[in-house]
Amino acid sequence: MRHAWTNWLGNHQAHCAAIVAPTSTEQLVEILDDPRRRGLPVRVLGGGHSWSPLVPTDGVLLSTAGLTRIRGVDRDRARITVETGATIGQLVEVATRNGLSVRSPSMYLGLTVGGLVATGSHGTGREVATFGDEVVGFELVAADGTVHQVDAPGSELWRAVITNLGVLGVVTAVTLQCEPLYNVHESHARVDVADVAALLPAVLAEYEFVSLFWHPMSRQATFKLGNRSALPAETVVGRIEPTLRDRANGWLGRLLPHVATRVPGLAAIVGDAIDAGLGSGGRVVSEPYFSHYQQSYPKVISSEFAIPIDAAPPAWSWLSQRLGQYAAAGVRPVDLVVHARFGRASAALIASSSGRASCHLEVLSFAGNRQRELFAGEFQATMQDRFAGRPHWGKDIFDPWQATRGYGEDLERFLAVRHELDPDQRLLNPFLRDEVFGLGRRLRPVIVATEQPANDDGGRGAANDAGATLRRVA
Amino acid sequence: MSQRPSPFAPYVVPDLRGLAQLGVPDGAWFARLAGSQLRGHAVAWLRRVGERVPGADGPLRRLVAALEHRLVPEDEVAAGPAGDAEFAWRRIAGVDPFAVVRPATLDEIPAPLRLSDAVLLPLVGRTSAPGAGAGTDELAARVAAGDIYLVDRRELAWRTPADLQPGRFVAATAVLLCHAPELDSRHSLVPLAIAAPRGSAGAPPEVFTPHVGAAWRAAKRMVEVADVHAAELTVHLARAHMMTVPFAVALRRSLPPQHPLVRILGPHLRFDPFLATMAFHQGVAGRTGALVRSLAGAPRWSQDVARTLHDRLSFRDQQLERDLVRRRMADAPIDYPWRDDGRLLHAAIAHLVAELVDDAYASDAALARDPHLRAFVDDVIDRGGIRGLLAGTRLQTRDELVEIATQVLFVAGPLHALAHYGTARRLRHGAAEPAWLPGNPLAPGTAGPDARTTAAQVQRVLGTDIRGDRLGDFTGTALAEHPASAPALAAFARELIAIEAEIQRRNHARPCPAPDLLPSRIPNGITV
Repeated sequence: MRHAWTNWLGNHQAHCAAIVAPTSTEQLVEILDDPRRRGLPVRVLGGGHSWSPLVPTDGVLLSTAGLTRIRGVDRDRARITVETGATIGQLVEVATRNGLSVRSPSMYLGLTVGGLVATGSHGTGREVATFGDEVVGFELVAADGTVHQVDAPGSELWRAVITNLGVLGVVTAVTLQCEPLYNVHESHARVDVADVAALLPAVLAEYEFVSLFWHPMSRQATFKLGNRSALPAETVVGRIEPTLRDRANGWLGRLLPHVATRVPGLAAIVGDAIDAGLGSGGRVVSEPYFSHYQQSYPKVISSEFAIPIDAAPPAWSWLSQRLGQYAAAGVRPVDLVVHARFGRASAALIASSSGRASCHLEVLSFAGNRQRELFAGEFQATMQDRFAGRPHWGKDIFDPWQATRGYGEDLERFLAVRHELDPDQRLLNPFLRDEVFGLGRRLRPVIVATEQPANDDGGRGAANDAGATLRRVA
Repeated sequence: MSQRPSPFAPYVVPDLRGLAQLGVPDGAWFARLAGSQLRGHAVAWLRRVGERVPGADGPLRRLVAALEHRLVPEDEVAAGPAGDAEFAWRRIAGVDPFAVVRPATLDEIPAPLRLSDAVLLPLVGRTSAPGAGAGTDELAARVAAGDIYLVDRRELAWRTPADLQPGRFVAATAVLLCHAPELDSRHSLVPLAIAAPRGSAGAPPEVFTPHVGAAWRAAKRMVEVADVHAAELTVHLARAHMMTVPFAVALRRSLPPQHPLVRILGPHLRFDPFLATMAFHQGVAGRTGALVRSLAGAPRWSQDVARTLHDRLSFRDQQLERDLVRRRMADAPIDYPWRDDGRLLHAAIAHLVAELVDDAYASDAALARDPHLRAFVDDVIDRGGIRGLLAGTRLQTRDELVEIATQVLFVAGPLHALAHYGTARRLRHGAAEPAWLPGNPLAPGTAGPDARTTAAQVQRVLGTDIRGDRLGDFTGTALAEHPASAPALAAFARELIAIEAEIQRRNHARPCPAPDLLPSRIPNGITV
């Protein structure tokens, strides 16, 4: 008998031997014994919100839905220890109650902590990289049931874990570095899309938090900007529980994909509505209110690349011009929004923003947009070839064979750590093993001790404190 | 040689009159069949209900899953689209082990699959050397080293859309594999490329490599479905049922009931004529046959595929070792369950048959003088249409009879079990392992079969998933009641126990278990 699983969007399915949801680390260790004896592969399942097929396996799906406890809050050091099945909503609620702000969280609250760490997901902000970069300690259960407790950042293992794709083991809990709860003065600016590239450097210099939205049928783009403010917030502290407007957006989100691709012009209206949903700015709001402006996901498909932040203006120019050319031909492969966020370099080995401050450039289309694939390949090729882009692991990846381009030696280091923890390759699925890492076509790894090369980790301090690192030598 | 009465002969048994001569199974068999039919309907109903239950892991879904689990024990072999290692393993250890060959020269590889160095080198973990391009030096070198394997399904090529049932699709595919143990692969064979048509009838095949992402996944899916068709039409029908029916018929028609060959072959062929007749009328004849409904081909095309292969087969050439040598697989340095586990079973059966034949005939001369045996052989060849049965013109020696009888038992037992139960085990997964596709998956937007279709597929395969007996269990047969046979039967039983343990041990080390040749899963003969 097989157990059927489908992700949130319905674009990935699995027929697996079992779906299990342990409620404690001890139970997880016990559960791992069975697939190990039977030689079954294991994949970790968070919220199932990835667009890429990270989760599907024909072995055992190990859900973190039962691992949702907050293990501890250290107000003095502004740290929260949370199990990885908890949602960002649960985490933010606890953080807010304790006067803390979560760093680099996703805007959508329904994602899980483990999912964000696994995929190198991120928020926006000059001083933050990925959500995983804020992990200062973690508990990892390896494929053989060994429990690794790490309580300091910087080691090679830590750099692998903070964007781990679920291929190192099961990260059951993380300790996150937060900061005291703060307020943000939020501003919005509508500018001509042709002027965005020229304005970007100045905007990034002026504002700590920058997001950019553009509906490809509109001539104007919207900057959502923010700087920290000492003034009191004009809003409620958090926006964690969905408001009526959020619920309405959720209902619309379910409805619109069915009609948006059938009714000409409706997608443009939706885009404007989204812009309107961002609010008008010009007020001081609490950080959670500023960060979590989206409470539900419509049925969309997203593809995102992190490019060096200096490449953002030319990349934006190319993207806007190219989509304009498509539009002139009556083709609308991106019918929802183009979205850009900005952050500093990640210390992770294989986060899309590893080693460099990045612009995260994202295109979103309604699910069912058949014109999307016309552009998806070109988008990936251009982002990678012209702008040294790297794909977001959780978003749709058109050509996974090319996904690991641009990581150089760090990819080999990640695979070496992976090989140490899971030599039998039981934590991989065909997508990751064959299409992303191409492990079936690499020469067998030889592990030797070596010095860690210098790495621009964005000031995070990724010095290797775990002794000799692992290096793959073909 | 007599004229065949049907385009699908010798599946039809034209000369038998009356059910008694057909070898109608006993009541227990019919009870098991009824039970499996009920189970198939129940599981299909649960599948349909499960599709409508919301929530991936809600209480209702869990209840449905638990009920299904009671009806269908969990399989040790995974289902669904596999990774490249599992894909390569399935080509070797799947339900059709006969398609794989080791080409000796580049000419034996279909032209589209003669990969250039520029394409091949990155697929085996090497960067293209400067100047590497359109040449095929690397492939030629690997062919010469015996590292290249080809799985060619050209027998499934169809010429017009009328060859397929409306809304159903299968295509001839060819897969090139490479033995490359130096790679970081879970299986020493890695797939290099698939040749498959992108369009419909008559479209030339295109080559897809693992570098092409979604198209590679779609091409692999086409291969898996082609596998099911090849297993059903060429292995299950042509190599098993159609090959054994003439022996079963001749056994009844040309030998007296007390003849020693009836004692030896009888337990393995006792239901064969009845099942073949039933299978023809309820399986492959007309549009309503279960087999026709299970596959993509139109009835005539499916019958032609099976018949064409059967007409081409030589009985002697299909003997296990000769077939392995012909395909250059006898000494291939890979784990190949059909060869490795098959040899164990074949040797055990040969030991048993040799003992029984020696008991039946004191000398070769005694055998040569047996008029009934001569009539039996003539019947199999002339009326049954079996080609290449004998090395010469007459059956003269006990060794040759041992070889023939061993092969009949091996085909009726292990080979049929692999095809029938192996395919059923795979297809019962339903949506993850469809037997046919609604369209070419290489065409954008082609979905898989719907839930109702796959539920019906599960119903059909579970409905015939029964075993009439077990290899080595001769209870109630004339062989068991023949005192002189007792030592040979006891030795056979001991050998089977040892083989069971050895295959289990091998399965633990394999990328995926290959359970279909476990003696405990093989009936004595074709019992369904």
